[in-house]
Amino acid sequence: MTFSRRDTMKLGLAAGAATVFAPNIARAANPKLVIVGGGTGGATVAKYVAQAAQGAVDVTLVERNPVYMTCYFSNLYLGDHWDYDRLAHNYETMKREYGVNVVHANAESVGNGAVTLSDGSSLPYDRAVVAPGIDFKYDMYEGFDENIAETMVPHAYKSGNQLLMLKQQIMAMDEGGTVVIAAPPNPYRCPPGPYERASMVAGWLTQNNPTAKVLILDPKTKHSKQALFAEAWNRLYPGMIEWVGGEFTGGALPVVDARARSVTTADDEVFEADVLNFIPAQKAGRIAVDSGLTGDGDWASIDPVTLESTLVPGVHVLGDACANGDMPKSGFSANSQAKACAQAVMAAMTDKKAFPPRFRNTCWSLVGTDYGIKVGADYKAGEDKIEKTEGFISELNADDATRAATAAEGFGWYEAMTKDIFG
Amino acid sequence: MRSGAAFLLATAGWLAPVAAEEATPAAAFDGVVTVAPGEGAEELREELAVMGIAAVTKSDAAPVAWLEDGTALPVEADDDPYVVALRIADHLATLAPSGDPGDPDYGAYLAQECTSCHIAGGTAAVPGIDGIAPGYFRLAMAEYAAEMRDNKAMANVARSLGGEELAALAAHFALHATTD
Repeated sequence: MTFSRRDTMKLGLAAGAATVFAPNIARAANPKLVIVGGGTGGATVAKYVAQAAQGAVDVTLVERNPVYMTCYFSNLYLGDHWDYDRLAHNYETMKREYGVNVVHANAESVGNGAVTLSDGSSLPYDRAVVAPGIDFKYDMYEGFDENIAETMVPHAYKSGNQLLMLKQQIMAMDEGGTVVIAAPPNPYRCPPGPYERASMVAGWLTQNNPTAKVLILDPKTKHSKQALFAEAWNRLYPGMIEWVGGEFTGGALPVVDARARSVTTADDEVFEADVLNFIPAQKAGRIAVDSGLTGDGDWASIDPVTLESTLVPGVHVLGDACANGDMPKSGFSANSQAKACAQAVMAAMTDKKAFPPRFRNTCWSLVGTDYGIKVGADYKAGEDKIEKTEGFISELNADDATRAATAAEGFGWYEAMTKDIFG
Repeated sequence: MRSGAAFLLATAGWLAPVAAEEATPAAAFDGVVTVAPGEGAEELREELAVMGIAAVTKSDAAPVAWLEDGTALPVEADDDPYVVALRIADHLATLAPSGDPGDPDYGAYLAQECTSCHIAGGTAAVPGIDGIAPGYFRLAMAEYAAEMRDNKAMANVARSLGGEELAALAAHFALHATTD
């Protein structure tokens, strides 16, 4: 919003001095923020900037889908505890209450002051935020690609149709069958996600197909909340869930046979499944890669204070797509990063002050609907990355009341988090 | 919200009695006093509560992160917790005017962290904190930090807040408080 003195005088001469600073002129010169990706990170930035700017910044949110389905708590749908619709959140409040211009379109690239859409049109920006979430590294695997994931062997790791397909396959599985969940290598979205999924699936099978098994094949030698999950599985689903770690898989799961529903490990051992949920290795969403935000790596390198790209000035990257230092890739992290990013963006475009950023993650996993475990930490902006300050984790051998209270807290978090973003 | 939190070290076994009539309660103080555990600590806490001063007992007697001005008031020994409480109140009355008033704009940013879990009006398991009174907010944070309240997530939050952050949040909540 910078008029030079000369421009102001010209306008003054043309329009009459009294009308020079009329609101419509000020509005015409509003700085423009364009956000790509209306998931947890992007939508939080949109709401918080619009709320803080009070009309002084034009906020545009580009999102492919009219409705956002959360990945977090989607395992409750798999466990048949929640309807699919309960994961759905729309952009109506964001448009109506906060004046965000929501554009449902595919964004192709970001840079040089404009976001280019797939129809060839472009949206100019003064600042851009890119929050595309994850994409999958299909080229690491033999026998597995996007088409196979969509039609036969779902990863079901972005909510959506694959989640529906996976649930149908589990429900239709023969008595005594085996569900194989192939977990991804680090780093990936929602570190406890595959293990919470195994828990929710085991809960449903215990009720409906009690001789069935859940086998987790893992390229990793350890996983998030490992001891807590093991304790809970032994307690709630004894003998049903087996975890095969990296020592036994050789550290990779390179080959998938979609027709046979089998996975071959790096040690050439073949595991056959009745239902196969293959969650591949991950990288930043495509637009981050295509716009040069990831450089030679898989994730977008950022300044830990402003979350601005270290490679493309004026473009901020947050959520799962950024190289987020010590933080896990989670919805909570994305929401936290978005609030730090929102004030950085406001400070860059208006005279608002930015405070030292704070970051937090808390992650509740539901082993049963009355059995929750949690992990969390606070973080600060370090020299060149977001650094962990202090963390916590649920205790082993806690009583039933504690596990139930933790689960209830998790449900409360989901309600608050989605309201914080979309409500 | 005029004053900030003060840290007081009250050891077990009291010394240096002060005549009760010489001391004056600190009506203006709405921070939180930390009392080291030991014989008489609970009684001291109760006496402070009667005077309207929130106090918590911490197992860690070293000065904590949210210590505002670095002051630790050594309460040597005294058999009468009431008298010790009066001394503390008197000390707090001298601190109150210089307390960090807190930056409500910083508090507004910090409070964004709260809304990730705390919905207006609350849920069954997570209480609403909209309209929370600044004094109660400080007491709750001190109790979480000291693990007198049992919630690891909130203990982690409370310990991450320094004196400036607590004052800023209290100033922010003071603008929106709907209860005393």
